[in-house]
Amino acid sequence: MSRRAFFSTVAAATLFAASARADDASDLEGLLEQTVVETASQTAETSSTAPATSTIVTAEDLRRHGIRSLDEAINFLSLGMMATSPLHSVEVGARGVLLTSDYGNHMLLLVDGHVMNEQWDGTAYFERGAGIPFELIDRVELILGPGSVLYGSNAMLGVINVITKRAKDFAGGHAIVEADVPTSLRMALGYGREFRLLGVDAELTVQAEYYTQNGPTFTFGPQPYGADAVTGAPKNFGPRSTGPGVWGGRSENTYYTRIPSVYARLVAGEFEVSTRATSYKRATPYINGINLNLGDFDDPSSYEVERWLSLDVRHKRALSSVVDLRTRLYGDVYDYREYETSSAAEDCLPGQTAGCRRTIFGTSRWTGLELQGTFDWLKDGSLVSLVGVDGRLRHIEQRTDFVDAASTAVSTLGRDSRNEGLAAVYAQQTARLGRAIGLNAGVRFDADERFGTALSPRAAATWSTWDGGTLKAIYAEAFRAPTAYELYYADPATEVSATSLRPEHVRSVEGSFEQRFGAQRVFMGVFRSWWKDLISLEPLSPGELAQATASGQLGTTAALAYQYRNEASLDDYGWNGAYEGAAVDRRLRYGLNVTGSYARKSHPDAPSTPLTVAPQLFGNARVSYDLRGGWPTLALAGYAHGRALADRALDGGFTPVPRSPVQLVLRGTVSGPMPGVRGLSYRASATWSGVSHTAYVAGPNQAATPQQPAAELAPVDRFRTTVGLQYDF
Amino acid sequence: MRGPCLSRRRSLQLALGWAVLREGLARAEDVTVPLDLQVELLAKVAAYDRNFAARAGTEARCLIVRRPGVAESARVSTHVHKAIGGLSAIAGLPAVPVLVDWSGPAALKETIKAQRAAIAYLAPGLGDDVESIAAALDGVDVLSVAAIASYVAKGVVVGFDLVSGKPKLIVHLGQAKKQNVAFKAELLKMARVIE
Repeated sequence: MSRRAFFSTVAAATLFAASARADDASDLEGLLEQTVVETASQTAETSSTAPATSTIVTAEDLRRHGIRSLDEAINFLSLGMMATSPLHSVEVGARGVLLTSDYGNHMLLLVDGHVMNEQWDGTAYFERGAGIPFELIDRVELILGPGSVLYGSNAMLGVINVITKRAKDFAGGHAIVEADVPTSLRMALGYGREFRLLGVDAELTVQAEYYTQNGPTFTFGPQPYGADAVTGAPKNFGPRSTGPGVWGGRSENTYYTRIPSVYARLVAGEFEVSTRATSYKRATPYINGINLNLGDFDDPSSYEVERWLSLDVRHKRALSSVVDLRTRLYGDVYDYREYETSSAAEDCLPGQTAGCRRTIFGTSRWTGLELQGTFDWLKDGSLVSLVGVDGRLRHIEQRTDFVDAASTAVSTLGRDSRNEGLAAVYAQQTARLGRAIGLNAGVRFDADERFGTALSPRAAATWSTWDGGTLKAIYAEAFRAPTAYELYYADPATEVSATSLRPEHVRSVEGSFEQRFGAQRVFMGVFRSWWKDLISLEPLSPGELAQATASGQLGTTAALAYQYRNEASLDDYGWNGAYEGAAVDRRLRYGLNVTGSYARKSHPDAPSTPLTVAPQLFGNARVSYDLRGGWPTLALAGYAHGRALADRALDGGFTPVPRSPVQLVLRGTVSGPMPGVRGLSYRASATWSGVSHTAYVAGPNQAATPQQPAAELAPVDRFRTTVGLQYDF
Repeated sequence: MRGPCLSRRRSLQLALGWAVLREGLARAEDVTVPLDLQVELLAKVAAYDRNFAARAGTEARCLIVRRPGVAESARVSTHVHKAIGGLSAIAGLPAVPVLVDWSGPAALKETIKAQRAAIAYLAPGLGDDVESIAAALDGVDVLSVAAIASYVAKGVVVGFDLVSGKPKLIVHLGQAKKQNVAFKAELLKMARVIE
């Protein structure tokens, strides 16, 4: 931007601000458009003064834009975050960093403050599999950047906290039916009520839902694969594949999802109890390098299923006008199963020449107690200390079974079972100097039997420069604990257990400026982050292979084996900007978010490379108009992701280098009350994608072969209409 | 003899447990909108009251009513007192915050009249007394404001709620008329109105 343009912009902004100040209605509208965020500091405060860059997606935003899952909220409405769908678990990135195949374990997901990332593999889901009944959501707080200072592991890219409604905002009964025509159906029942319990005010909110999806169908391949490495015959991809030695055909049975879920919250006085139960079963329509690396083509018996049960009991009490004490007892039970059926001997253990059924088991159970004290020293919020301790016990189990297709004999690999403990202490100090300056500094120390210790500091300063203007500077660090799978899994055919792994670590600095003009808001920010000790599965050198074979860790037939190691580092910097506002009595709403970044990953003794799958330029825009008076709300939202390297672009040897093109996705939504039927409302949307494929290589040829030098990329469901009805009674 | 003795002890334990549980259950008043934001909203909302200037006179005197012995009430009132003191003006008039201990509806009414208060801000801890406050303030020229959203339905003129992470204004129009508060239509368009 030239100097003249810069000063013109500043002058225009100043004039605009002055005119806005003169308008009381605009001022009040502006205050009512301020968002309040709790997650950044565990204290309710305006987003402008919170020690993080954040996006608040409201229930109204979700409704008016036809949002049905967290990844859609991220893509269509958030600043700095993006999500990609490989037709199985959605992957989430932020600020140009997306670590493919991480099962969401670099993003901390909370529901009402309860951690959803499970303790075996750190998994969190952001698609429908998150199992959060959607009408129950009051808001989603998306916090960008490292957030371990108050939350511990997994908060490297950011923290997403889904906050559910209070009963006053969900009163009565609610029946919902919604369908992606003709592929999915969701049915839900919800209830909210305020009442007296044991003589005091209490409230209950609950919603149960069932989601099922089948299809659409996709056509893959044909991909010539060649001979089975064990039998020498053309590899057998099962009866539904194109033919011997060839993978592909029409996938009609392996793109499905089943998700029953229920969430309930009871509040009575100082006590709060919440519970969530869900199961997430899904099949992936193609072999890939992430979740399904073998199996017959289009076999519906190859699928993944998870079950979660969470319980959270909280108590809070103001001990004095200075001290608040919060206690939280929590526990979760989680298990994971992945079933893959293969007719090919090379996918199975030696001797299983007729094929096998492989099952990966992972289980974790954990319980913990967190105590937190808040000290408002001057009783006016200007000097507040927060200290907390968190203790957790967890039990982990994992194993992989191979069932011989011919004899049904079961062989088990990688069996592991153990108990672990974790203890953490954290502290945060906030100070307000006059009305203009806010300071926030904190640190958390984690001691974990799994990896040792981690220290996560954060310091932030905000300066209210003038009316509506806020400058913010933040330094933060975060970590991700190695998962039990990364640390302990081993099998004599392919993998040696990691002898020791350090936690992954990120530190980041960012600066931003925000200006509010009545109900309008402009945001500009810059950031830089440094990641180290990233864990990746690395091949053993010939010497290491020989040593592992000699020590009995690997079988004598293992020609290639891997081990998880702290190998990579990552350097990332960039900018983000946002504009949002409301006009015409807040009936017209609009917003725009853009992020540009430069991220490079490097391994020791190798040149740095771009990240795969992660676009370096992405953003979204939205506009909606509420016609009111019984008429609908019309909304249009869209997001765009810049070109990105495919997941196997750097190690697949494909020609040409596979990339996803610029992705543009648009969604139009109409919603409103159904005329003539009190309590009944509708929502209909149409979603169109401008591209036909994703950044994920599909099929068994995850690397180039002479018969298939070019990669086949996974397809996109390009057009879908959704209709839904809700009846409130 | 042993049986009844154990039974009494058991009864005592149960009674004690019940008292502890009930004490724990009893306090449920959440301030959802940050207090600094409440004070900013309060200052803006007052400007929409057509009768505010006449009521206030030369200064916007704001009583902050707290219940003695309730920790949350003390904390909120101290915070709001300081925040109001830091305002440059309320509806163009100098802001004068005054802390008042709750001692009953009649006393509050007299204090409002004696101090010529333009605003009465009710801190948490007064939930059981809001109806009696509303009755006492019938005919008293004052803008009553609540820290707790649920107080509005019981008879406070203005309150603040947090819905989907954004503050919402709640206005009790019936009580407003009783207390000679006349809000402009622009404000009511932005508020949830209780008749």
